[in-house]
Amino acid sequence: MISLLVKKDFLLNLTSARFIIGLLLCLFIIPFTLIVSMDRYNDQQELYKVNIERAEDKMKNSKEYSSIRPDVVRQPESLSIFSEGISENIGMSTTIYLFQYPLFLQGNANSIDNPLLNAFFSIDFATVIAIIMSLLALVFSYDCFTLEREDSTIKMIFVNKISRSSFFIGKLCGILLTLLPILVFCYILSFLFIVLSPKLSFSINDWGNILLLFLSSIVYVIVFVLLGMFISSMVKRSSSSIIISLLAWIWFLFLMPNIASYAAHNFVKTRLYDNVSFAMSEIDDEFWKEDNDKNNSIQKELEINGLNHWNMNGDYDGRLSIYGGPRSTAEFYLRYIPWYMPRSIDYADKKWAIQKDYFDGLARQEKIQQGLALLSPSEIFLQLSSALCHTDANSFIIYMDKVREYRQVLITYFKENKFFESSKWFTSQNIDSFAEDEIYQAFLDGYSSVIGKGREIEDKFLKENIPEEWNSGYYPPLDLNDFPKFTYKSQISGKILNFVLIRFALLLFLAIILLMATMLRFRKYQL
Amino acid sequence: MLQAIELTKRYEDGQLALDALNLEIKPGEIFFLLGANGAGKTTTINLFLNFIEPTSGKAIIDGIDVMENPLETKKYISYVSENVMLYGNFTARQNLDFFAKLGGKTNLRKEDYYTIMRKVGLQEEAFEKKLKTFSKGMRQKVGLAIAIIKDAPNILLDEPTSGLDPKSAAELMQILNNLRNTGKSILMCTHDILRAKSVADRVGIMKEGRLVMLRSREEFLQDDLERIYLDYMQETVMMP
Repeated sequence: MISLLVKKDFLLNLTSARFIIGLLLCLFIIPFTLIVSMDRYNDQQELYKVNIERAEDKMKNSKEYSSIRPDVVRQPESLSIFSEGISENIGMSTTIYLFQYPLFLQGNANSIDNPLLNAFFSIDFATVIAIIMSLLALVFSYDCFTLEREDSTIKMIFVNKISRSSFFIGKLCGILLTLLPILVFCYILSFLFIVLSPKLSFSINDWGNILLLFLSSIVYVIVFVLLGMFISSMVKRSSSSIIISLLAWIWFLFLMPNIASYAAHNFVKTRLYDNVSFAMSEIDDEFWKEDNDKNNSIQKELEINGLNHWNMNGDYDGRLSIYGGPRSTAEFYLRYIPWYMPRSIDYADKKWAIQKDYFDGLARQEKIQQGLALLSPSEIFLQLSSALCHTDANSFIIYMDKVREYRQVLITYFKENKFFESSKWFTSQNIDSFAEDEIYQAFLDGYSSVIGKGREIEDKFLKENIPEEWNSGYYPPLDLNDFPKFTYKSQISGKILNFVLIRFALLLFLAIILLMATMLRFRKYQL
Repeated sequence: MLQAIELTKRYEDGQLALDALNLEIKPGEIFFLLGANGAGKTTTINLFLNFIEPTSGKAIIDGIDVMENPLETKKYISYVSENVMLYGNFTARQNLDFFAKLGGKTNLRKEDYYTIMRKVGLQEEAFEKKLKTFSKGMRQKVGLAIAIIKDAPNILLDEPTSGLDPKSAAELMQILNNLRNTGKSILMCTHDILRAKSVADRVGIMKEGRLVMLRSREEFLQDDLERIYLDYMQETVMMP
């Protein structure tokens, strides 16, 4: 009997205008969304390649270890074509400095290079499923009882040996049997796009995630079908049912997530980053004061009064490049750097406490927002989707943890190779080829005497008196074959798996609650 | 056979819809239940169909208590509602096929459906047309065909002639007459006194949930049924 009821509902749905419209809608929107997402992904890949080349060039040209500040570039997630999550908000690369922990990625991950096009509204596959399938689920279920009641067919059915639960299950299966082919169709379309795209490649794990996404989509559709059925069991008229269903849809899909964001933003206060920067600059000031004292004390020990450089480049981040000049200056740095770098790293730890506090505040805000948004099934589904596609906040946090771990690996590498104690930190030049102080002073005096006598005379003097070793161009770049490289492979970690499973269980739980509530309600439904 | 024993229904809002109804409709009998709107006619049908639960008393179909064994009683009963809508996107035959299978008739052929539809007076060209193109009278005929095809011993009809043209109503009465001759117990709720006079074996008038008058065919043909009915209705109107 149930199969008869299922068949009846399936055939009626199949021949209804809403099915045709739903199918056409998916037929149009899904390919369009996939094309846009894949286009965006390809652009991001191009951007990634450019960034990687730039980072490699930077590394290739390093002639001192202090100049090595590797750029970590985040590879675009191929699964982002299914769910973008926060990937467009978090930047693409960061430079690893020893004096400071990396907090966020910088740069624009958004491939749209025209800011005037920011109004361009594009949504990803998961969002389309969340919006369209929930709407279709409600459209197919809002009148499942009311219409039969209005047409008296429900009475004609119950004149026969049919229990209410059989009728209910028949209805549910009939609607699902109509909707699931549409859902499967959407996934088959996406599968075809992936298979036919030469630029996309997915690992077995990725396919596993897509399968999980598909299963979640089914549960998600069931939740909305049951919601529509529940509403239909609560009212007598289809006109009331559709109004309530649409209001519920708007509430769950659009209002609830925004209210959650608003509430999290307003009720969980975080510091402004300006305040964090100020607190960090205070720590830097403390460091510079200590640095100044140390600088003076080393100069005193070496009995030098001021540093002389012939060819020097440096930065507040610890980069130092010295070629030529008096040997006393080189010796100063040989004493100064072994103090400066570890101390700078210590101060980075101090600053990290402030940065972490700020970041924890942001993460707390995000957790509250996500927690509140769990009241909406569509948000549960979207959170789950972005976690499966590695584009959620947790994936980003894990990624940044790995980036910070990489910084630690670099520190260990420098320490183990004793580069802080070595002249290689600041020069490729042999220390012995720096000039004795008296000779350098004589050279400076000679140079002063030709200054102002014309460019040619100056150049001639320099050519005759400057050894090649004083020029950084004289040295080949460092051999960095053993230099640690940053590697990261997105995968479902225990934390994310937990996150996904909780949301999946929540959707299932919601479906079961709605199923029971609707069945109970329908048992008392006035025919 | 349909039996109501002290059958009472009081709704949750306190309204007494049916007050201790005692009734017995024998096989081969057409019983017309007359009464104004809200008199309790549809409530009676709903109680026999177990669409609502009685407050007290019993509704019995072929010796089986509806409350005790509701699904079992469904085998012995057919129903035609006042407003037969059915499934507009199905053809008349598809509707018939669905409800016939639901009623346990799984071995019927296309020709069997056509025979029934001919029997209720549906035109041949309408058999494979979608029901949404049908007039009310045509839909009513399909509804009747559904009730007939189940071949249940008891048939309940809730104002089936309302909205029908006189010709269709007369055809319907002819069909009921034929069904009575095959031994069916027929309970028909209606306002239609003319039709009652033409085919009813017994007539009952309901007022405010009570069966206030019961007449056999001989009795109501002797008395003036219209006058009796109007008198009862008058009293209803006059009551404070």
